[in-house]
Amino acid sequence: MNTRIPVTVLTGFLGSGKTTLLNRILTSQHGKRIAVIENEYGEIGIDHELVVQADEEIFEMNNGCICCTVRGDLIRILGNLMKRRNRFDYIIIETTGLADPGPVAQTFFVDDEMKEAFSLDAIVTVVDAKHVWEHLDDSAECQEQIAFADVLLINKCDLVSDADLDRLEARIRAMNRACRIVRTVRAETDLANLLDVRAFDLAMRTELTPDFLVEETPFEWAGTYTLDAGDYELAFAPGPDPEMGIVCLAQPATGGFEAARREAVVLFSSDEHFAKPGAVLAPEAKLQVLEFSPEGGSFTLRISTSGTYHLFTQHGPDEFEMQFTQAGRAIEPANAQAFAHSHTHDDSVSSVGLTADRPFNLQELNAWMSELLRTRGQDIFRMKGILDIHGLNERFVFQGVHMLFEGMKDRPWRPEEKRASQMIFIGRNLDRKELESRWQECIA
Amino acid sequence: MAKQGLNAGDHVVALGWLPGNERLLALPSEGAPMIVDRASESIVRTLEAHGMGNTCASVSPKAQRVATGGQDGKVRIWDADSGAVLHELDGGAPWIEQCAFSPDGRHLATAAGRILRIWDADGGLVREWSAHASTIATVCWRPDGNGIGVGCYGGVRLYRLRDEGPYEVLDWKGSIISLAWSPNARYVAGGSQESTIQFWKLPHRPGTELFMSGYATKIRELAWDRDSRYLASGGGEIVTIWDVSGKGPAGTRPIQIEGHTEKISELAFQNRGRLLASGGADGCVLIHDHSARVRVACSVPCGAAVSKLAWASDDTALAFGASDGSVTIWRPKY
Repeated sequence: MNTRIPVTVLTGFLGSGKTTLLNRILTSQHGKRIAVIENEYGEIGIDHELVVQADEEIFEMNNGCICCTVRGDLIRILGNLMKRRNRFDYIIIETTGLADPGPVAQTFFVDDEMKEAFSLDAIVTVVDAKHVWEHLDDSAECQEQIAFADVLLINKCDLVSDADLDRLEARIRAMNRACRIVRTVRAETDLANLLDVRAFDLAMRTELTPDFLVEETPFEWAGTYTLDAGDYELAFAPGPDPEMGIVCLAQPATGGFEAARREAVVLFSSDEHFAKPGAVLAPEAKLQVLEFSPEGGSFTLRISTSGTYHLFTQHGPDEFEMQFTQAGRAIEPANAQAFAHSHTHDDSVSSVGLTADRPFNLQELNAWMSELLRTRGQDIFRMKGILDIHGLNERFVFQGVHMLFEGMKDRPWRPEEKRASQMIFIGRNLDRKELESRWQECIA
Repeated sequence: MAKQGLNAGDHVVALGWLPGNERLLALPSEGAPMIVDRASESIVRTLEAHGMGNTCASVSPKAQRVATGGQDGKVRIWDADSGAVLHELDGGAPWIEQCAFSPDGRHLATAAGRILRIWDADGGLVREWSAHASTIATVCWRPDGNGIGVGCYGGVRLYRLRDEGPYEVLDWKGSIISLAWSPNARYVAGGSQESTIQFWKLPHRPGTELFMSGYATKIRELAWDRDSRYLASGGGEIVTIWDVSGKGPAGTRPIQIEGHTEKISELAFQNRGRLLASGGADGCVLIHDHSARVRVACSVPCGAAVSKLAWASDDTALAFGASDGSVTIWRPKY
């Protein structure tokens, strides 16, 4: 019987809508008695009887051989609140916009009493759709809050265009592929997205967010066009890069866009075919690299058969003010999609998802994990995985926060189920190649 | 056996006998603090609760007075006879962490946030020390009542009431969550979040501090025996008793007593006798005689996790409070 009280950690910059969200949660009819632990600059300003102000005291704690930081004030306050366990049944911890969520999360894994009485439910991060851009590049706190999130609310969506939202979502995805992204206006969303998410509950871990397996695409954008035979113009203004790779493919015989996308991923790492402004391009299975002049450049796309075509561009087309026209008439894509592509933005925070369909050697994996967490623990914010272990009939599920990690046997693999392993790291300066090769080495 | 049904209404966070040992203060985590009559085992008076919950209480060893503190940032000094508020004090921060009467009954210490305040019997502010690195987790009076120690993240500070600053700065890089000053005033022991006891001999000479480790969990339970020879500690299911006589505790093996099946939550030595009471999350109070061959002298069921223990000053009764609010007055038969 699990009588532990769930805890949701709410992070986000000042002005992101965190307080609106908190108020919304507190005033909704959810039948829960919620205790709120507010940061010292809290601004709830509502009549809620269980608001406790905390001063975010970060303690370094020596837990056996691991040294990590915890929130000493939370241990004290929650230790006290839990003596009244019958009087409330949910806890929300609001952190300041400048707080690193790590110590908060670690508090619930390091302190015995906290572990017994509370279960960390989820880290919910609120970002302002418009102003988050100001912090994405150089605020370590902002990056960490995104990286730690289980649920990420993109708030104030009404203030920006859909295209900008797509771009933001793609950017966030590149940093944290495991989180659930929810777009909101005035922090309005179903409470089921926020409370009782059980993101840290190993027993509840059925699947990792499917999105995490989306491989890192080498392109940022894809557009699907319905084109008649004829010549089209692709014109570009100068952008952040003097060249850009593109792949243009006719609709595959089967599999539609998804098949084309997979083909494009492969093509983007094939031989480059350079094209100077004025060149005539055709939809074919090759990577064409447009070499812009200082003014940009215009290219002809020659379509010989009417049909559906997919265009994949290395950078976002708006970065080069791409114009797709025929005889001066703009051609709009029937469908367009932005993709996460961490390289071009040089985000130091990223996700690395790994998969394997052969079982792992648990000892090897453990040895690797111990080494990794010892040497890179500070940089690895979150870790989640479902593993197929050699000699084990059950799935092995695990998760970690910085250097702390826990794993356990889960349910048995089902007969009809394909045994496979998935794992995701979210962190700073992750080396995908190295992680991938060490992961492969652990296969039994 | 105790009469059934004495209940403070919620988790008992403080217990204390009033002088004379006829009445007992019981403080629930939420709701009215209450005065319990020993003979009838009934509640004879209730006091006003602190808003948002009670956090601490102390009973004057010399007068019929009690102090309570809560999450409203207030400390109240009550007349236990009339139930009247004698003084309402401002702790200096929204959450009163600790309040404690001095052993001579002349002062009351309050700790809230990083602020330690010392008040006299008339509610006058005698002194304030606020230069602490973090929130004060624990306070402990010097046995003579002329000084006080505070523990927080970063170590321990010892103050004399007459001085502006601390007279001993016992730095330690971790978080001290409990503090016990030996009755002879020669030792200060701090229990830590990191499952160690930090141990200082006074006056402190740098490099002479000791630490005891190997505990299962953080150490909030510390108790000295009347002779300042034995320091009992919890930090898990086992009662660990260090003998500090001779060159101890350095290099010595402690006495370890098993018996609890869950974590120990409280330890209290008798005031005059040598028995040690331990309360556990397992709902048992064990009475130990560590000098006897059979160390667990007796086990008293409490029903719910034990949260507080208090020996009457003449050791004729032991009160225990539990997480379900129950208060038991138990009279040893020896």
